[in-house]
Amino acid sequence: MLPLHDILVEQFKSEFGEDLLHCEIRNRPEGVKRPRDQRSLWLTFHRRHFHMAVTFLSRFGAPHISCPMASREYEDRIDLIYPFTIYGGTGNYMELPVIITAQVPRDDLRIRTVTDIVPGILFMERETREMLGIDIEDIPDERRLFTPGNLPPEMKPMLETYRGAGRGGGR
Amino acid sequence: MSKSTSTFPLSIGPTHPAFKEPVKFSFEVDGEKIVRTDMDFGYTHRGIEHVARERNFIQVIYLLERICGICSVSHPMAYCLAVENAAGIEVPPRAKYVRTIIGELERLHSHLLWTGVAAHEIGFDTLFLHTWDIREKVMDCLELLTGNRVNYAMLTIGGVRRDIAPEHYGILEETLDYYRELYNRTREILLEDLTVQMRCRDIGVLTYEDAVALCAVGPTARASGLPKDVRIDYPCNAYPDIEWLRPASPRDIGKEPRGDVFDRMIVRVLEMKQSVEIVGFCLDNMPDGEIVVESKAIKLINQLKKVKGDGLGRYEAPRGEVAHFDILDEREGPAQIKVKAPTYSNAAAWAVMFNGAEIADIPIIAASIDPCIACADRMTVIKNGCGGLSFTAEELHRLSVEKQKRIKATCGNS
Amino acid sequence: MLASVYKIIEQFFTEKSTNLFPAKRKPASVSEFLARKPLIAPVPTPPDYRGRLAFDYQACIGCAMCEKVCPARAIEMYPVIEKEKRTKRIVIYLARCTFCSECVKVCPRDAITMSGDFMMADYDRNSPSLVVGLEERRKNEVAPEEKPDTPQE
Repeated sequence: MLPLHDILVEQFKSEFGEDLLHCEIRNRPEGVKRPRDQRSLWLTFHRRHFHMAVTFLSRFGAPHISCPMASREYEDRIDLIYPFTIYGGTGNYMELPVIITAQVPRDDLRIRTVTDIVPGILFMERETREMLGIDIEDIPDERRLFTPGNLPPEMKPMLETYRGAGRGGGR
Repeated sequence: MSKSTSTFPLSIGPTHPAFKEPVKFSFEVDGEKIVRTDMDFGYTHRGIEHVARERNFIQVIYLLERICGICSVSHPMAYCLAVENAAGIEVPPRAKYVRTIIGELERLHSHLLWTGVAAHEIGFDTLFLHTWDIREKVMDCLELLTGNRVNYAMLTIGGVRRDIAPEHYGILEETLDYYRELYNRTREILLEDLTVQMRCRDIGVLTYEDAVALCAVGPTARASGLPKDVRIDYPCNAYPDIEWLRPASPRDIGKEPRGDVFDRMIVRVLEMKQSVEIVGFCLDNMPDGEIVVESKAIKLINQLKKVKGDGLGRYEAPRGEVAHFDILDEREGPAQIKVKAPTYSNAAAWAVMFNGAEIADIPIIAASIDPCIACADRMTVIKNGCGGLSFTAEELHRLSVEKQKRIKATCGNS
Repeated sequence: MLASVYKIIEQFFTEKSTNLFPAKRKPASVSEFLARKPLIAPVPTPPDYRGRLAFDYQACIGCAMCEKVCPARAIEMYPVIEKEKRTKRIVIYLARCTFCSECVKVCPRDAITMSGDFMMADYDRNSPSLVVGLEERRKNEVAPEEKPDTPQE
């Protein structure tokens, strides 16, 4: 019997205690004739506990990464949002998205890689490095992914402060 | 003496056969066998996520339709699911069923297109033209329902834009009967032909452990024995109502999944049958009611302007899982959209599949995970710096066809 | 194997729906040449096909909702004077249009309509056949209103 969302939350709380900065379960009803609830789990950590959190998550099932990392910018920090999902392929309606947010302070933009736990995240980490300028430590492959080699290294296209050269920005 | 054991580098790309996006491959080849693969992306990077920041909620839907021509309903679908999750909008039941019908018709046409492309790559041109001919019926159906053969413009946040009128039901049922009749004959040609099996068996293998570790999705993962399918694992639209839906797998016809190109072909053929049955189910059980929550576009934008939050939307495109993560921040448009196409997830698995294959197998392995439409052109063989030979697309294709003839000759003689 | 052979033989008896390329060398007069040899017509489009746009100048009220929803920014507004009041009308640049029909759906007076015509190619993207509403613009456009200097953002 796979641990469901409520048991998972209890386990995370007992393992991490105060380090789990925020945790939330979201419900959404789906289906017309056979309605069922779709749940997702949203956790927030500081970047120094992030690698431990993903290792703890991998004890329940091999995590699958759904989407490259999204980012929210605040004055003193940048939040990196990693949408993992576990229990994929184990049976009907069992998959659970576990969305882990890692808080990275703005004066020290780096975070540890998780390719040792989820090897498929390599391309997404390469994209985050070049688009947001956050240094991923111990990454096995340091090359750029999408931007050409002659783009100046100061240009970080996905940061809010970057506005296309000479255009004055959007609305 | 060391020359006989060293490998030499073979570069293919950026614009080259059997791909949608131009991708640069660098192989290390030992004789005819490939030893190592490396890939280089970024040649069609269009900055869509950056452009989407400067558009409002309705304009982004049409921008996302044009990310990919074949799975052109999947990206707006995942976007609408993500925004509806973030804003807490309920979709009316009839709209859910219409969305499912359009999604499954698109899956049918995409798998027929793939079958033609794969057959062309191995030199079986009769099958290529046969499947593209069959595909015309579903394209006519889509044109009748949506107004265009590609880029359907059917979706909006909170529902769909056009309804399926009662006079369309008859034409849809006719199309489904046409495909049910043709299914057995097509399946025979695809799966029981000996030369197709000899070209595709045990080529481009992706093991179960690699599929889990590298996060493979879609038919690529299902052919390796990993039954991941977003329609069953995390369903939306009308999929929770369909009790008999299971992920397609080679085990359904009694073969153990080995993760090679032939298993991917089996999975796609079985999914074509599934799509026809799902559309039949939706037509029989269509609920009544309205098709959209808010039909006036400007009012919708003003409602969404008050929302702050984020949401994850996932959908099963013909190639795998499409996921969008949207952040809404009280603006007229999304503050950030992150797009993950299924080929992005399968790209890491691609590198593993080429090891141990021959050069003439490169087109079929590359086409087996179903990247987008074939873009033309060159392949240059570099021999340690002394000039180079150049093959055009026709010549590479000719190599592939000649291998087919050799196999037919040995198979005919034995 | 037999299934493919059967399909090939069937092809000899079906009606053709495509045309072979008509001539090997360019004829002296293209329209005469085409008139001599009847070509198979294109497949007719269904009733709700999203084709060429048409604009009704009299029905428009100048509310600018179409300009706001256009994904390609293909709609441009220009000032006119109607019934002694300053208002606006539009032109639509078909070379930029994506034929999504958002402007058709959003217009409160149904001033924009779509037809089934899809053969719209032209050599010049600003020619009257590709800019909907160009003649009315040339007749009715007035100079923009004088505004006091606003500070730049």
